[in-house]
Amino acid sequence: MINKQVTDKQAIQNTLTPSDVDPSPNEKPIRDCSPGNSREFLGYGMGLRTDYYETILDELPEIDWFEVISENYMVKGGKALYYLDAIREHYPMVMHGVSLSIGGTDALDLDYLAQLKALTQRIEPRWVSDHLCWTGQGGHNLHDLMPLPYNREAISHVAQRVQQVQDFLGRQILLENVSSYVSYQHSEMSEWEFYTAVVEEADCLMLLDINNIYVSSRNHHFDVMDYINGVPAQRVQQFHLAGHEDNDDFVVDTHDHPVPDSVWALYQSALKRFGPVSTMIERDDRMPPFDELLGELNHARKIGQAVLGNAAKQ
Amino acid sequence: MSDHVVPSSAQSGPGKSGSPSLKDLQTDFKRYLMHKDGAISGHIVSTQALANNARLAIYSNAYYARLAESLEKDYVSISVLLGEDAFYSLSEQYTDTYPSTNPSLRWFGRHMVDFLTRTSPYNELPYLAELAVFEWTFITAFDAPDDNVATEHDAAQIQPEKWPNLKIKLHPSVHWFAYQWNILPLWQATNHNASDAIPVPTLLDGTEQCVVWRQRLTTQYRTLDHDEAILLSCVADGGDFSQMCEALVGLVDDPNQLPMRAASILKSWLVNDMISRLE
Repeated sequence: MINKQVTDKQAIQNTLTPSDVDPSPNEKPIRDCSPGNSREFLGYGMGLRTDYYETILDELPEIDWFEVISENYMVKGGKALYYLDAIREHYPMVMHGVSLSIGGTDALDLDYLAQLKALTQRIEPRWVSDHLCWTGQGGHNLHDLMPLPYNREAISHVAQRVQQVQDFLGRQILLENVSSYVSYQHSEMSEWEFYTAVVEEADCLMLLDINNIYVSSRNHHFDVMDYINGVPAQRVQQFHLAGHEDNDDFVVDTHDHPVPDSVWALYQSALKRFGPVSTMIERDDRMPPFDELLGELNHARKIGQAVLGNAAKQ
Repeated sequence: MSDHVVPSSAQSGPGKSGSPSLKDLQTDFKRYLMHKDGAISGHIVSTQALANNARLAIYSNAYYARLAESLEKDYVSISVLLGEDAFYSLSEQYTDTYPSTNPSLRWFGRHMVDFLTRTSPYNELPYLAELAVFEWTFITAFDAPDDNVATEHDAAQIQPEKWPNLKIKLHPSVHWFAYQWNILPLWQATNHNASDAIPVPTLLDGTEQCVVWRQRLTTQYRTLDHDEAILLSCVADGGDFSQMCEALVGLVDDPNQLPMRAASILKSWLVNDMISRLE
């Protein structure tokens, strides 16, 4: 199954040219990428995973940056920190957390935040991100990215906590949209309206997971372009690209498949709307040979250059 | 919202004026995941494509599956010995007994020894708890704090008159434990996909001890001789070299050989990166 999908992807890779990328009429124009714009474009990156530590150090592949899962390095010593430091010597990094529980109703975990801050001091990431969700309640961690209701109470609650975190870390953070399988009776707006309100009120940035937009659009029956056009371009700092499991009635964000055509197509649309945005392949399970991920990353690079021309060169 | 909402009793939650607070909503959701409490379902939208309870089931299935996967990675031997279904059942019981309280999954499995010791039918197979000790010790050594590593060269620099009061600081990754079952061959067989060669769990003739530590980036283990285990306890308790020698009294036939035996064991620790400092 994996081989079939990779073959499909490579077929696209081999045939894509700038002329294939025509703007569709419902897409807003590319945002202003003039020097006055403050967004930092790191280029094309990859999630750092243990399977590839030695390959990366041995081959120093042409990857512009790595994203590390913050919690994986909240340890005292050993292999993880060794490779983190060694790879950091060669590549810029960003940090991505899964346990901040910014939408949770327990008090912020100060011990966790202290470890997060210590890690920022260790590797000096270009930025730090986590998810727009809650991950625990009543002292219990669910280790899942639980969806929030899209209402005013949640906006105020999350925005206030983001400000606390940003004050503690001394930097703006990015929040990522999660895939979801439920929506709440008490939601008062669309996901993208909620997401926008949170980042505006908190004054933080957005990590748009293109796959998650697709997954949630299938699960909740909305138009992906409404989402892409509905969020503020100036706050979009990073993209995730990933794969999913399609069960027809619902789609699950598994991150264990190659990026499918549907997500590549949405990525093109997102680039047209937002301009150059640091983009990475996020693979979390059923890890393929490293070259397969590099192929996906080069495909993203090719799409970026096709859509944006020189503006996408890092 | 653009969901195609199905008008059914399943979605007849309270109206906007009666909306649950964020905290109540999250509490209900958590209770659904952890206790199958259905209060949350009235707050979840059903659609033609998928009813609210089917949507919720995606989360509850993922909850147990994710935590079982974490336990399976931590306790490979136990999962192989029990088989996939039995281990998943164990994982569900464990998860209900010890829900995660740490932001990192790294710590989720830390109660496994207690669980296996206290819970039937696992406590009727005591080698499972002993294997859990072994596997958790491996994890502990794997990411133990980094520290200096003392060498034979460092030992050679110590003046003879300073040896009696010499303090030996073990590397933070060094841990050891006692066991009564044949857990080392069991662990070796179950960790090398040699399921046809897994030995029958057997009680040993006597208690044995095993030390686990990290040498550079590789986690190592080996059995301990009786006198070496005593010396590890001695230095861990703050004993100096003269106290190490005293600890060997009765274990070495010739009292004049006590310092030689202690020095020999210390040398093996130095060679294997088990010592941080000689002070």
